[in-house]
Amino acid sequence: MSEELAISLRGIRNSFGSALVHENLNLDIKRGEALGLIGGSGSGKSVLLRTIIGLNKQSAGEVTVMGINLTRAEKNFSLAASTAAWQNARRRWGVLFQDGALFSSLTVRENIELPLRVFYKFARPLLDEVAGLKLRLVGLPPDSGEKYPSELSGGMRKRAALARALAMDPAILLLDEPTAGLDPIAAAAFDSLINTLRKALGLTVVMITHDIDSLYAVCDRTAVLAEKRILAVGSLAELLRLNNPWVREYFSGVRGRSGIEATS
Amino acid sequence: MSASPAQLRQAAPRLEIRLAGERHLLFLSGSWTVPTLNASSKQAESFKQLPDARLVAAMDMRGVTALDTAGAMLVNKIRLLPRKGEPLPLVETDQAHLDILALCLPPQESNAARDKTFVLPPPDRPRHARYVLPLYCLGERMTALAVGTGERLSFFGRFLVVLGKNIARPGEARWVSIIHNMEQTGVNAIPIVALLSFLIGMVLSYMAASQLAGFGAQIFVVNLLEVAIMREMGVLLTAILVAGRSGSSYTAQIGAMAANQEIDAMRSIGLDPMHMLVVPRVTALVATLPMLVMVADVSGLLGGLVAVWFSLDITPGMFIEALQRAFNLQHFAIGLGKAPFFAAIIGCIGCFDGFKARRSADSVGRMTTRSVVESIFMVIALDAFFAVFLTSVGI
Repeated sequence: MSEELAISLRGIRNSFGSALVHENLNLDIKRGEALGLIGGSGSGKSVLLRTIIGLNKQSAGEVTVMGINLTRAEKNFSLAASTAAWQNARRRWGVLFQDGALFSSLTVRENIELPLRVFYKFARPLLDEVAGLKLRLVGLPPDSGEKYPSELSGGMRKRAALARALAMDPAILLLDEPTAGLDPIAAAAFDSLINTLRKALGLTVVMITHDIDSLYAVCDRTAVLAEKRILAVGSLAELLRLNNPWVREYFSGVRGRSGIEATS
Repeated sequence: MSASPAQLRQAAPRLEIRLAGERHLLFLSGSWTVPTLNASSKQAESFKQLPDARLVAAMDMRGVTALDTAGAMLVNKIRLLPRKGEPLPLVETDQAHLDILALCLPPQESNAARDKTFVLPPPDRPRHARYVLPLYCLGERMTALAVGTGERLSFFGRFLVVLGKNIARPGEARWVSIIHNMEQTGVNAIPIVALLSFLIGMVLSYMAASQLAGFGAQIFVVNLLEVAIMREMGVLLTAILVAGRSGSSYTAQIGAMAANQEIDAMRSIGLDPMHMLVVPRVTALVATLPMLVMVADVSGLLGGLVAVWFSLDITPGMFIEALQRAFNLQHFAIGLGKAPFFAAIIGCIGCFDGFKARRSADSVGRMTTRSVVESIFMVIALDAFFAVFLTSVGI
């Protein structure tokens, strides 16, 4: 069953103090698909992403990534084996954090090279070549590699962060609001960049977004996070047929109109 | 009426009750805006005192020249006074004023229920009799202290584990980062450490000279300087300086990285921040602090030498000769031996507090302050412990 699934979440429960964020949450993400994750502010989308990559420990439930049950590995395996399972999983995903989260003390090129250098100890010329390739893949000029993150514009920073997320050639790309804070043209360009990369590299894409245009442009399926669980998963047409008041409101606002008109 | 809009906003707000036939009418006029808020608030207060206030049947606002949300708040307050909860009917022709008033109407009962979802939850602190509260606060503080101590100990334990791995496999240690941090915290700190200990050496020997001169035992200034600087002041002064200079910068660096999600990014790639950030910083500090202490020792003695030369006419030659007689390797070794412990404490506290920073500039600042206070406190406490311990074992 787990062979065709990239990520599988079972019975996830997350709480902070007395506030329950997720309760018995289930979600399956197929290999090669692009899944959008939507939900109101504070509904726990970022927490869910952090749960998948192990930055947030769920109080109940299991996380399986590329067939590796990380929760069980942690509970049942020895420390060394569990660490190995986690490292194995970590090399299969790349994460684009909300503001890029590039290491501010390193140049863009060094940011891309860091994971490669630490894990594989490639020699300098090879590292530079790989970093140059990643920069070209995300559409950044070669000279931007020598710049520090603070010297880049918002859109370029996101591209640089995407290049770092792709450094280890992951199978899964996790994006936390990739187009937030970009102007519509830059956002559309970023969407088409993700589409191109996804087709060429066969990536599984998981994308938290508030941008309905991005949902239309990139995602095959969309998961709705509400009422502490995944309320529904499906294509946008299926979601609209659901007749759920929250989903209706989400897509019927002025902001959503252009996107819906584009498909009808 | 050809007043400019600015003048209209400045017009004094007025309020009066007039009898119109059988009915009492409330007349508002002038400007009810932020610049005139003080005056209009006084008007609203005075309205409460008026004997006829309860009899008012309607409010005439046609004389109002300017109205903003703050003014509308007051007007609404006045409107709600005569009849509890039900606003007075208005005589008003300006639709814009009516809109503002409607917007600023305080929430009704039905709205209050809806607004409840936005009310912050009450604090966790339960209600108790007055005499229980101090006990409750004390318990809360003690629990926080215990939890904090536990967290620090576990951080130190994880640091030791990663440090052990680094020692076992020196090839994987972050040498570039270690050297870089040694330069930042060691080499760059030499001038300030040298200058300050020079001054402290001078001050010490002036004080000692004025006391010892009474016995004609001026030359023993050198003995006092030797033990005070080598054993205590050199290392203590350096450690406090480094805590303020480097410990704080560790907290700020790591705190800013945490605020920017860089730590999360590092973990998601599979890099251990302990290995990448903490071990190089603490190692660099442990390696450089003893060297800085040596600088402080030499320059402190030099300060003493200059001071007694001018105040007591003890020539540098005499000073050095007396120093050679008084020199005790043990004092020097004890001072130097304390340095790595102080360095480890400063480095670990600095890094730990950095990781504790949340995603705000304010929290980074707060943690930086805390790290400096904590590490200076720990350095002095540990120094006191060393003094008691070493004296009791007779060294």
